[in-house]
Amino acid sequence: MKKIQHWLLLLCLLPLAAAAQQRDTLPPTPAEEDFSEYENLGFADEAAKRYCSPKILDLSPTRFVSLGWDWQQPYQAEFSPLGAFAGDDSPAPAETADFQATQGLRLSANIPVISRNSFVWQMGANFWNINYNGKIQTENQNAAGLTNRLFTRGLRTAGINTTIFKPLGEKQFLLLQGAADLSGDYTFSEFQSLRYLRYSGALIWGKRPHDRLQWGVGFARTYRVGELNYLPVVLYNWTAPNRKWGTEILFPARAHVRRTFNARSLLLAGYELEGQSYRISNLSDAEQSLEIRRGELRGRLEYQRQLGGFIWMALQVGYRYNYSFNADYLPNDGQEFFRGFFGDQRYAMLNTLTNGLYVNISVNLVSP
Amino acid sequence: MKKHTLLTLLALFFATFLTAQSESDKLVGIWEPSNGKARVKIEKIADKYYGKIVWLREPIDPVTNVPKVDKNNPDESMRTVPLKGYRMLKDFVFKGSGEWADGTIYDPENGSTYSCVIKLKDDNTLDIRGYVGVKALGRTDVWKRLEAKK
Amino acid sequence: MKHFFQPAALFFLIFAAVSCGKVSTLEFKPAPITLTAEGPLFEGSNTAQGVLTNAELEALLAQGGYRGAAIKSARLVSALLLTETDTLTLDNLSEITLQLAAPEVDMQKVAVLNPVPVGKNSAALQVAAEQEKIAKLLQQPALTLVADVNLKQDTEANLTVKCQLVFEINVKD
Repeated sequence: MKKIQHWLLLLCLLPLAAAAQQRDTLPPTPAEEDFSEYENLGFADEAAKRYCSPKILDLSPTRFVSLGWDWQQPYQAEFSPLGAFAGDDSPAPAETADFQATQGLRLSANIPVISRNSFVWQMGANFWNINYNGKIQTENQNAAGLTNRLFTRGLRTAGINTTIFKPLGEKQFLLLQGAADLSGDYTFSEFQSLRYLRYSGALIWGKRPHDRLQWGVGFARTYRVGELNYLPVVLYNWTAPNRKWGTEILFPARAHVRRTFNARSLLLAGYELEGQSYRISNLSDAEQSLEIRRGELRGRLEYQRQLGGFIWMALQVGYRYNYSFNADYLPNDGQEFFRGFFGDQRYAMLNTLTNGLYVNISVNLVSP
Repeated sequence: MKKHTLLTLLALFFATFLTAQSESDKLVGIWEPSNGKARVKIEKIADKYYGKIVWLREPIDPVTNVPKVDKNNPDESMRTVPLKGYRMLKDFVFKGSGEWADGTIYDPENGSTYSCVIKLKDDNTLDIRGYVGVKALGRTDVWKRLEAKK
Repeated sequence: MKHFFQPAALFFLIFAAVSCGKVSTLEFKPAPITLTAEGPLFEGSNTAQGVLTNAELEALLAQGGYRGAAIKSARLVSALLLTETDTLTLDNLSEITLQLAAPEVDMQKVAVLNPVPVGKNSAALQVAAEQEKIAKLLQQPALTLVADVNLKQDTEANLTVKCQLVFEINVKD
């Protein structure tokens, strides 16, 4: 019994000896270190690598959660009858209306799924609602009743998106974005089939030569001009050496010049293209889906300010230029087609909206 | 017999205690964040772990031409604190299983302090996760241990 | 109605008086605390530490008839850096940041001096405008003063400086 106890004692004392050894090899206390040697250090793990960051200095904060309200100044609309029109046709309007109030809630969330030096993957979801209110001015027997439909149902879009940032070493990266959006006049009790999802995405290769510059080139499939298009994209995020100015550009989707006042407030000036393809259910049938190809160019000033902690507010004031409110029939119950800038497929409706001011205000939970 | 039992129990106690101590002190050392812009020395003070910046890749502010200071600190009176020597990691407590929590990380670039948790992936790699409120709303940065070049 | 509101108002006033209590302000000036970093020390970032126990504070509170638990709030109002003797200067120090730490309380940055003046044997630090948890720190059995000091040159000697702190403490009667 005594021998067992002696061996047990020895086993228990071994960690004591090991710890004593380890203490000798722990990093030395401050007094024994030569701080000028911090220049001449290398990775303890020889396989370790450095990776470029997805951000540069002073970019406007990334938003985890955003809750906003969008409002447009009153404007006039003219909608053609249903038909088959060439892009340069000028059909007489079948209905005209004054749109007094165009406004709605905008919600979005972006959550990091994987967030590491060598790989960043983010998933997001968004919901935008547009309520229309106003007065029909004229309506003839050929009118499709689009105005009334917009006044009674409004339009909404719900989508999910994903972004992957993959550094290729210290200076180069790949950025991949994808989204699926469901847009139309549906309500939650009369939901829209997922067959009408519209897909968009972009792939960018880029370089980050230093902490104040990030640029890239790539290709996108987009609905930002209202209908499906394939476009080259240019990324150019830059911050001036004095840290007061910068650019945040993802052309052609958006481009801004940034003025940074301090770590808690900034001003952006520029534009953004918005667009979706909205299905109008009462003008669609089993054969074809009628979809409004809504595209807007929004020039604006945007002031962003920290309210407290990680809560920021953003106020946009700008001018909405209507790029497109035309409608297409998508055959085979919603099969997408590509017109691009040179296609000659006919439009189901040719519609115009006058332009006007808009205001957007949001409260945002921002990311580290 | 009684003396041997007591001695054995004492030895068991110290062995456990010392093993836990050496595990918790694995955080101590010089580490480099992924962006390579700084080097941080993590040390133990009064039973908690703190990290201070000991080296900056660009120590001079290009606008003012003097060593960088904490110019984005929300407290204006603390904006002259030099970044070299800045305690950006504070109050970490060892929780076992290679994790240190209950601490904060400060980002001098924007003057924000985040809740933070540190995990030792291996002896030379840390996962430092700064987050806002809940861990899901955060970002992990991988820090690598540094040593004198061979 | 009158019979309800009058007693209710009186009750509220008594409750407010009892719960708020009278608050007295004391100045707490402990003996200068020695901050030490063992040499050899090198140019750049170094750390000197010192300890302040709560013995002096307890003596002050006992003198006034207060107990430690009666501290409502506290604030550091000044921090003076001093050399060990008048003939020494602070010349080798370029900047100093002072923090207070204790096991049960988050570390607080309380003062900074950047740059440290040349040719002087004492210098007043800039005290933080925003201070938190100072009362809680002072009520710990001991708190550690952590001075992050940037040195201009290597030195073989220990770094020893003293720090004279002055706190303003609000105590509930």
